[in-house]
Amino acid sequence: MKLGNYILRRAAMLVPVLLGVLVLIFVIAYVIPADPARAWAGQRAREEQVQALEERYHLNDPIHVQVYTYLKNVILHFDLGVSPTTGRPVRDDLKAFFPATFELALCAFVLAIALGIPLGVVSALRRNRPADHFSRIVALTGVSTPLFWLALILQFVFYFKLGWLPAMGRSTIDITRYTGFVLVDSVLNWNWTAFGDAAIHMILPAATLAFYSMGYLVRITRGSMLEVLEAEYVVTAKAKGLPRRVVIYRHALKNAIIPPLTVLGVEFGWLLGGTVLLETIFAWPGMGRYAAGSIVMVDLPAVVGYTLIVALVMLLSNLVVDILYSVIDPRIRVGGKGR
Amino acid sequence: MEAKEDLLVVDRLKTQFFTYGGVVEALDEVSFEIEKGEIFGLVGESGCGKSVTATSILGLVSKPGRVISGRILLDGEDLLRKSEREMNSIRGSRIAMIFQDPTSSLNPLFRIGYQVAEPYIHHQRRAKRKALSDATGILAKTGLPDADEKARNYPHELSGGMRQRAMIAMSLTCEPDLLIADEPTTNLDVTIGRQILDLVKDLQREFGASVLWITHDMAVVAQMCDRVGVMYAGSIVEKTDVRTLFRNAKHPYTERLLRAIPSAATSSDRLEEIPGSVPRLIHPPTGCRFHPRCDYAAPVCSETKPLEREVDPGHWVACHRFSGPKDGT
Amino acid sequence: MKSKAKWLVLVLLSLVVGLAATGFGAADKLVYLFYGEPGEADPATAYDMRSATLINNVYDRLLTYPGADATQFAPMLAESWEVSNGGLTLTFHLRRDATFHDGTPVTAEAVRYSFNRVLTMNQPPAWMLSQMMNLESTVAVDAYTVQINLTQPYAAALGVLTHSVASIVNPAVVEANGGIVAGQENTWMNQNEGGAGSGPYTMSEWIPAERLTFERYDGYWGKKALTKTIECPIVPEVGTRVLMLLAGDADVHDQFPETNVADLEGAANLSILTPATFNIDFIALGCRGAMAETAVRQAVSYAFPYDMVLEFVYNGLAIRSTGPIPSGMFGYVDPVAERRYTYNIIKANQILDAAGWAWQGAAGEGYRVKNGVELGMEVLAPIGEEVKMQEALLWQDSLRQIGFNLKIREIVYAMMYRTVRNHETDGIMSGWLPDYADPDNYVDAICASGNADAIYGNEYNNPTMDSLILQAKSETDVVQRAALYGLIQDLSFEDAPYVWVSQRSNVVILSSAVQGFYYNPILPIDFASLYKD
Repeated sequence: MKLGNYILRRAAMLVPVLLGVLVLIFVIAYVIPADPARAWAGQRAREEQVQALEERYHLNDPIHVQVYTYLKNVILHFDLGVSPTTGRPVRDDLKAFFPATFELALCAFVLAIALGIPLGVVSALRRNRPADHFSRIVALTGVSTPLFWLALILQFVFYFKLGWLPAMGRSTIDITRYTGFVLVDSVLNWNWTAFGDAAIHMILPAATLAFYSMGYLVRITRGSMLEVLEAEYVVTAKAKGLPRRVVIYRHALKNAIIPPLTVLGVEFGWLLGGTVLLETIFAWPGMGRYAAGSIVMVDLPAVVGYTLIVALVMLLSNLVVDILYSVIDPRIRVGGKGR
Repeated sequence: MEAKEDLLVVDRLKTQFFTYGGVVEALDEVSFEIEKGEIFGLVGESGCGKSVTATSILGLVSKPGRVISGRILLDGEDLLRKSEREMNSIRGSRIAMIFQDPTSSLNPLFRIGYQVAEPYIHHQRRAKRKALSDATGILAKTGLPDADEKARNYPHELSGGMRQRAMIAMSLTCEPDLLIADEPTTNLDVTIGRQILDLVKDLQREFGASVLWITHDMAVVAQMCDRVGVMYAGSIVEKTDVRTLFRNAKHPYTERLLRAIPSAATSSDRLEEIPGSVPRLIHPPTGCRFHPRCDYAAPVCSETKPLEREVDPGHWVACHRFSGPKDGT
Repeated sequence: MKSKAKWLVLVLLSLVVGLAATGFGAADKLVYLFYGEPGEADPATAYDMRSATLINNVYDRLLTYPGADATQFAPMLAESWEVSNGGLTLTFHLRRDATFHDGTPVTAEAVRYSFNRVLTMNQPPAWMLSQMMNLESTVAVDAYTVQINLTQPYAAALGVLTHSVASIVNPAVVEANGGIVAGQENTWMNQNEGGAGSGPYTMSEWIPAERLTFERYDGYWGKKALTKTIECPIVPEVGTRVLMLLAGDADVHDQFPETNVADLEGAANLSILTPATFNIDFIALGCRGAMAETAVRQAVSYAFPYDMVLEFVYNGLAIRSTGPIPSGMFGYVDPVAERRYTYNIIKANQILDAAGWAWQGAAGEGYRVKNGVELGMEVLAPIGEEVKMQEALLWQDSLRQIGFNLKIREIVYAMMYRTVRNHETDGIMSGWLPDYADPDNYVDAICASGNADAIYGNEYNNPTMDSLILQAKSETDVVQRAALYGLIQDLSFEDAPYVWVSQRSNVVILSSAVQGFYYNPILPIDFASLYKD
C-alpha cells in the first residue's frame, strides 16, 4: 500500500523534472548562435524556403510560445513534431531507434551485472589469491579501456580474424517487428533462426558496452563484500553455526549487494547514453547516432524528443532502483513500517 | 566444588596474530576451566585478550590470527582437533555467544524472528514455519513484550535492550551447554543493563548452562560470577572464586582493579585509572608482562615469567611475590 | 531440469543456424555500402548524394546521360525531344512501354503531375525547376507528348531534367498517400516507394539506420537489372566498412574516404578505382577588409601550396582545379600556364610590395601592414572535414612567408551558415557539389554577385562577371556559349574571388567479382549495370 503511494508520488515528480528538462533544451537551443532552418534547408536553399521552415517550426516565436506550442502538441496529440533532418515524425524515429538502444543497453546491463557482481564476490572471498588478482585485473581493464578501442579490437578479432560474429547490424533476417525489440519480436514470431541471428548480432556490442560497467561493479562489489565480511553480524551468523554458504550468500551478500545496487540506476543511464560510439562502429540503428546527428544539425524536435525519452528512462530506472533498494533494506523502507 | 565436573577446560591456549607489523601474542598460555552450571568471569582491561579467548573457543579467530598451541576440551573432546564441519555443528548449538553490541551484531536486513529461528532451522532441521513460531516462544521467554509482533520487526525497529534480549534468545535456542557472554551490557544504559544481567542469570538457572562471562566491570563480576579469572596482556594472572577475589586478592594487578572501583556502581571506563597503559602485544614486556606498571616490581620480574601457583586451594596466582617452592607441573 | 536443457539446445541450435545463414552470400545478391543514411526517398524533397543514389535507381527521368559521358544526353522515359522557340519550348515524346512499379503506364499527365508537385511543395531542391518554369509550363499535349514552356530561356534546361528532382512519380500512389500539400513535405513519400517509381529497381525495404534493400523490377521497359537484389547496409564507421570489404561481406563502396585508401591497398579481393568527379574544393575570400583588394587575393592565391596539398592532403586522389568549372565538363578550358595560379611565394611578395603592404619589421618577419591595418583574414574550417583543416594549416604556414596572418576557426555546420551569411568571418574552406552537369550550375552559384554572397558570404561583385553569366544562361549556340564560359573562367583567375584548389576523385572500391561498373561524374551509381561473376 505504502509502496504504491510512494511510486505514485515519485511518478508525479517526473512531470516537473521533465518540464524542466524541456525548458532547458529550448533555452539552450534559443541562445546558441546557430541558424537551424538554414542548416536544415541546406546551403543552396532559397531564402523563402528557409523562411518557410522558420515559420513551420515556429523558430521566430518567443521562447515561451515555442515551449507552449510544443507542449500543446505533445499533450493533446502525443505529437513530438517532425524532424527536419530525417523528414520523419520524431515519434516514429524514436519508435524505430529507441528499442535498438534500449535492447542493447539492457543486454549490456544484464551482462555487466551477471559477470560483475559474481566476480566481485569471488574476488572478495578469495582475497589476495589468483582468482582475486584475475578479477581485479579484469575490473581495472574494464574501467580503463576506451570503449571505441575495445570495440574495434573485438570486431577485428571476432569478425575479421575468426569470423565467428557479424561485424555490424542488428539482424539479417526479416521478421514482423511488433515491439522493435528484435530479440522479443523473434520470439513473438516464433522464429528461432531469427532469434539466434539477433542474439549473435548482439554479442559484440553488448559485450563491449558491458565491459566498463562490469569492471566498475566488480570493484564496488568486492569492496562492499570485504567490508561486510568483517561486519559483526557476519561473526554472529558464524557463531550461530550456520553453514558457510548461508553465512556468505544470505547474510553477507544481501548486505553487500546494496552499494552496487545503488549505482545501478546511474549505470543504466550511462549505458543508455553511452552507446553513440558503439552504434557507429557496429552500425547499430540506435538513438545515440540519431541524437548525435540531430545535435549537429540543431534538429530541435529530434533533440527534444531524444532528451525527453532519455530523461524519462533515467528517472524511471532510478525509481526502480530506489524501490528495489527499499525492498532489500528495511531501514529505508518508505512511508514508515514494513507493513 | 571438587564434586563438580568440568564442562570446559582451556589448557595453555596460545593464539597469535601474524600482522604486517609483527606477531601479536594475543594469548600466552591461557588456562582455566568452567564447571557445569557455573558462571566463570573473565575480567580485564580492553585488549587483554578476553574476546580472543572467546573466539578461540568458538574456532572463529579471524585472519591473520591462529591458535598456535594448547587444548580446548568441551566435555573432554578437544575442539582444536575438530573439523570445520564438526565445529559448525557445535557453534550455536552446544556453545552459543552473546555479543557486546546487539545493534551491529544483528543483521539489519532480516526480521528478528528469522534470525532467532536460524539455529532451529540449521541445527535442528525444523521446518521454517515451526522454527519461526518456536523463535517467538523463546523471544517471549526473554521478556520481550509483544514477542509475536516483535519477531516480525527488523532490528532497527527495536530498542537496544530489546535487541539484546533478541540476541540472548538467539543464543539460547538450542539450549547450549556453554554460553559465552562478551560484555553484553556495555552498550546499554544502567537500568536496562541490570535487567539483562538478571535475565541471563535466570535463564542460566533454568537451562542449566555454564557461562563464560567476559567483562571489564568488577561490579558485574561481583553480581554474576561464581569464579573469576583476571587477565592481563594475554595471560591469566589470578584465578579464584568471586568471594576470595574481593576479600583476598593477591596479584598486584587485581589489587589495582579492585581499588579502581568507585563506591557506587556507575558507568564507564574506570579501569583506565590504573597508571601506565596496556602494553602492545607485538613486543610484550619481558618476564612478567605487568612489571612496568607494577608497584612491587623486582629485578626478577623483568627476567622470568612467573608461573601460576596455587596459593590457597582453588586460588591461583602468577606473581613472583608468591612464588615459593615450585608446585608440580 | 530436463526442459531447461532442451531450451539450451534449442537456443544453441538456432545460434548455429543463424551463423550459417549469415555466412552464405546468395549469388544473385550484391552488397552496396551506404556510409550514412539517405535523407529522403521523395524526389521532390531529397537533396543529398545518398538520397539521389536511392531515387535514381528507383525512379526514371525524361532523359539521362549515356554511360560515363556527361557531355551529351541519352533517352530515358522520353524517346526523343526537340528544343524550339529560341530555347523556350521543350517537347518530349514519351516511350509507350514504360510502367510504374504497380503496372500503370507512365504518361504525359504523370510528368505534368510530377513537375507541378515539386513546384507546389517547394522543398529545398525545387529551385532547379522554379528557376525556369512555373505551374503553367508543363502541358500534356497528348497521352505521350509533353511540352514544357520555359518562363525564360535556359541553356541548361535539359541538364536540370536529369536531376533526381525531375524524377517522374506515379500520381495514383502519391494521391493515395498524402497527396500534395503546398509548402510541405510528404512524410510517406520521404520513407517509401510503394509503386511510385518506374525505375529498374523497387525499394523493397528501408529500415531506418539499418539497411535498404532494392529488388529488380521485372516489368522494366529497358534493359533489365543484372542483379536481383541490392542490399545496402548503412555502416557509418569507416573501420567497419574496411573490414567488411576485406572480408568479402561487401561488394561495392563509392565515395570512400581518401584518408583510408591505404587500409585497402594490396587487398587481393578488391580493386580500387579513382575517377575524377565534378566536385570542386575552393576557399572563399570574403572580398572585404584587406581581401577587398584584388592584389591581395591574387597574392594569397599564389601563396597556396597546391602540389603539396594534392599529394599529402588528398593522397593524390584529386586533380588541380583552375576555376569554377571542373575539367571534363562542357565549357571547361585548360588555361595557359600564366593564366593559372602556381605556388610562387616570390611573386606573391612582389604583388604585395607593389600594392603598398609593407613589412612591420625587417622583410620576412611579422606581418605586413597598410594604413595601420595588419594584413590577414579569418577562415572557417567545418568541424569533421579533416581535409579542409589540413589544407588550411598548410596554407597558413605558407602565408606567413608573405606576411599574411591567417586565423583558422573551426565551426560546426549548423553555425557556419549563419556566420557566413552575416559576414561574421572573412572566408570559408568550402566547395561545390554540382546539381546538374552544366557550367551555369557552378558559375551562377559561385561567381554571380547575389548568390556568392548568399551561399559563401562572398561580397565579390563584378558587373562584367554578372553579365557574362547571364548571357551564357540563355545562349543557345553551343560554340558561343563555350566561349563565354572561357571568358568567365579567365575573369575568375584575374579577380581571384576564390582560391581554386582541387577537383576530387571518387574512390570506388569493388570486390573483384563485381562487373559492369561505370562512373558518370554527375550521376549516382547505377545498380542495374552491376553483377557478380
